[in-house]
Amino acid sequence: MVKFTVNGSTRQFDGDPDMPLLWYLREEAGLKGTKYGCGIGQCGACTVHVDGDAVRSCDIPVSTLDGTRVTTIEGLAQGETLHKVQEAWLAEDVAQCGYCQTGQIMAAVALLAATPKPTDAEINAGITNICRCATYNRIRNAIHRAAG
Amino acid sequence: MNSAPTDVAAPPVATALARRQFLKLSLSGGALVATLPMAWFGQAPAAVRAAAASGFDPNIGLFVRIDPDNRVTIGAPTPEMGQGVFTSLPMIIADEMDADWAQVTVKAMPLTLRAVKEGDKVSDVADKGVDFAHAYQGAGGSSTVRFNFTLLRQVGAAVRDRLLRAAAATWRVPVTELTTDKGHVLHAASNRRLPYAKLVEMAIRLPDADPNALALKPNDKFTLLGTYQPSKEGRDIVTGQPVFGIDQEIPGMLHAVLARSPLFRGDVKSLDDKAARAVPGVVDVITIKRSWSGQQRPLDSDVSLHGSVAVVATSLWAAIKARNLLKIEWVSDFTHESTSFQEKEMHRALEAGATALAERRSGGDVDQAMAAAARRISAEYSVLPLAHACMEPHNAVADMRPDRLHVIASHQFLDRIARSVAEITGADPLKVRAEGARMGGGFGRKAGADFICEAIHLSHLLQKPIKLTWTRDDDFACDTFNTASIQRIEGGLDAAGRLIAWDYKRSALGFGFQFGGTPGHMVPNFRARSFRHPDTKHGMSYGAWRAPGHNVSSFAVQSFIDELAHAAGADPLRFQLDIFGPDREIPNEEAYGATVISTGRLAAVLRLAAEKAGWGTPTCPGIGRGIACHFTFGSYCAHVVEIRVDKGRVRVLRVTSAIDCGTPVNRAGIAKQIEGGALDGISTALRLGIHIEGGQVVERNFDTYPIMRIDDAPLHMETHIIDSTLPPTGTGEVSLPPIIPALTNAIFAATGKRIRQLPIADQLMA
Repeated sequence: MVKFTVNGSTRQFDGDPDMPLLWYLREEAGLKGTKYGCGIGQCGACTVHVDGDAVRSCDIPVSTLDGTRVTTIEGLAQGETLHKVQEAWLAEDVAQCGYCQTGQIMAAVALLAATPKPTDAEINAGITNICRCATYNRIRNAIHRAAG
Repeated sequence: MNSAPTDVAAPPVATALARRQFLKLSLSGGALVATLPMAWFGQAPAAVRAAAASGFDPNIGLFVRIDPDNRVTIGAPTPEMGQGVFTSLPMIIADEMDADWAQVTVKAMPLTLRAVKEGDKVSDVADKGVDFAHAYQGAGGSSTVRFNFTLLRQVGAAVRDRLLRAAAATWRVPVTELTTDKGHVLHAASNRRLPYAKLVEMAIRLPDADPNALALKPNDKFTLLGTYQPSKEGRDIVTGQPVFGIDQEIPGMLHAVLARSPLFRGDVKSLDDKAARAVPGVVDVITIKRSWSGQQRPLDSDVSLHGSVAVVATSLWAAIKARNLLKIEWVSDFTHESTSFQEKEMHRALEAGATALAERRSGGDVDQAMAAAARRISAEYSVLPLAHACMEPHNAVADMRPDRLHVIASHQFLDRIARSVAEITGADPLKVRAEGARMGGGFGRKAGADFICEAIHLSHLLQKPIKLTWTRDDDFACDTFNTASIQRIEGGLDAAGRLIAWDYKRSALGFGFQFGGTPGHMVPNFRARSFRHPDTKHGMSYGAWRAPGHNVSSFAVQSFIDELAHAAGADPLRFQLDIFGPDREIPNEEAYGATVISTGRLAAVLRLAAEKAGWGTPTCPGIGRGIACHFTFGSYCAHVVEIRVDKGRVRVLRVTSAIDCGTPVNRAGIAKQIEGGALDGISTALRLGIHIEGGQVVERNFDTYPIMRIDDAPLHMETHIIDSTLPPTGTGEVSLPPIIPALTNAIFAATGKRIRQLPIADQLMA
């Protein structure tokens, strides 16, 4: 039996120990905001926070999460009030297809927590998520805007 | 897309309301609802009743709904894959009806089809007596704005007209004294105003006006068109709302994950499913025989099924786990196919000449002109196959119980969904309830029928709702690729260094058109030929990939023009402008998007990009600038790219782009497509290519197919949009073709090394 929290609410899981966190979130918890892109930790569409660190949930078995605090995109906003990174994303009109964007946002939130005013070089090194629509220059603008 | 429309001078019938098919305005729950009911388009009454009985509302076709609080809902008719049509098409209606855009909510319209008969005017996807009922509900070929522009303006104008007449009747004043602004009708003379919502009850009682007689706004009166509007779905995306196909569910559904033959056109030879069946949650394991030629065509009537084994389970994880435990031997006639095999076959076709000639265009006498040329230069360009790699793996939800016939899928052509249901189940396509979900990228791949057919086939077989999900590995193994190609160009210059002869040859294994349009008839003596050897035995699947054909022809054509310019000792911009000559229209023989290519419009974008990029001004040592332009599907685009090469790695510093897409609809959306297409092309040219070995694809995920990440994106990108009042044309594809040669021309300028093979990869390592 694994006990952890997701966006503040307590969860218990005693299913298949091999199941990656990504499928737990999407299929068991019904939280569709975290996306499946590659399954091998390459693209970052599945990025969530575990104890504040950005991790790729497609690569992490649920069974390793006992006692941890998981945050997904659904846990960023406070009710109707968006996180400043989400606000910056809207102000810069970043998204095209939008599929990778929740993962990008989760990666950006973690980057800004570690590096509050990143340079372009730090953004380039710190965000390795793939965007197939290549919205990268707007992602950079949004991160700078959120950094203030 | 590779369709050859029967009549491209006149737009498809769905683009303008036919004389007797008026917009229907009705009252529903206190709201004014504007629809185009199925019943109006020659639809047999029985079919309408049948559709209603199946739970499908035959009046779905919602374009506009005005609620009592004056909020407006506008329908987005075409599938959204990031090209911005969810926002731009509703803007067209909103502007014409003077809605308050801040008060507008957009909802995706489900599919509606109609029966057509011999002699009816139809769209380019009409097939087997079925066509779109009103708006063109396909997204491909950069067509959605182009095909729907007039229709949507008429919808907006008809709604506004009805509200004006309602106000005139309410106030008893001439309608000519009234104006509209942001959801209100105004009578300046008496200083009165009413919100649209208050006019709804009167509006629906008034008789129809002929929508073709309604005046549309002159361009200088636009309040929304031509402005910068952010995506209407932005908030849903950043908060992770379940808007994509892969997020959809219907009650009682089972999950299906397939093991498909990785060998081209393969089938199951032997299967051991014992371990798979033992996984808790597995309901069934079903072998599927291949029934598909493997080529994706937009009007493909084949049932498109890969040779495969389907695991059906109560959970997605169980289906994935069990699928990975299947032990399958595959058989295929194409295990000989490899990258080198393909290359040899393309060369063989080029050498074979007449026996392999597939298509040809020409003007003047190229052999004579070439023989008389003072200088002759030639070059060969080659490109590997390319994968689509849509960020969202393919998926579909299908419920084929006879009283449901319901599909939800992120797909580019909603009619394809209904047709696939008809092909597999025998049902009437007009009875199908097809809902399009947002696509996580399309790029031409999500026009394919295979993943739709898989879900429909399994649901039909099992008589249960099925949700089908592809894994990333499936996507790479079973893509419908952009074909590899070899292009050879010979150019002849006269003594003054002018281009007088152009001889272009191309060989490719899959479809891809638009090879001869430029420079084409701009050169007085030209020939463009496409070769494919008829007996080549190859099994790789091909399909439309962003700007099919153009995506590689521009690389060859615009690189070669740069090579000719350097050979002539001329500035590449000046040299290309000389080829264009005076402003004129040359025939566009592929006729897709436009029947002519305007040299004036092409020259204008080239000049604009050059001017904004400071073309001709000195660059710092080590920095190179390249320039290129292209015409695709009616639009014109040019880029100047600035780069430097750093220990063999290309660093793109700046991209300056110019776009002429006729009347701009959403300037924000246009900029995003031009930027996105440019970066897609750069990503492709830098490192991407698919290899084949033993009749299967080598690359299976992003670790070996390294799509660009943020560290390769330039810090400076700007898009300049030509102000135009010409009919709007699309921007989803036109940016990609010319960025690749602009990049490789920049590499030549910086290093003196000419890139003729893509991807660039390690070619610049010392």
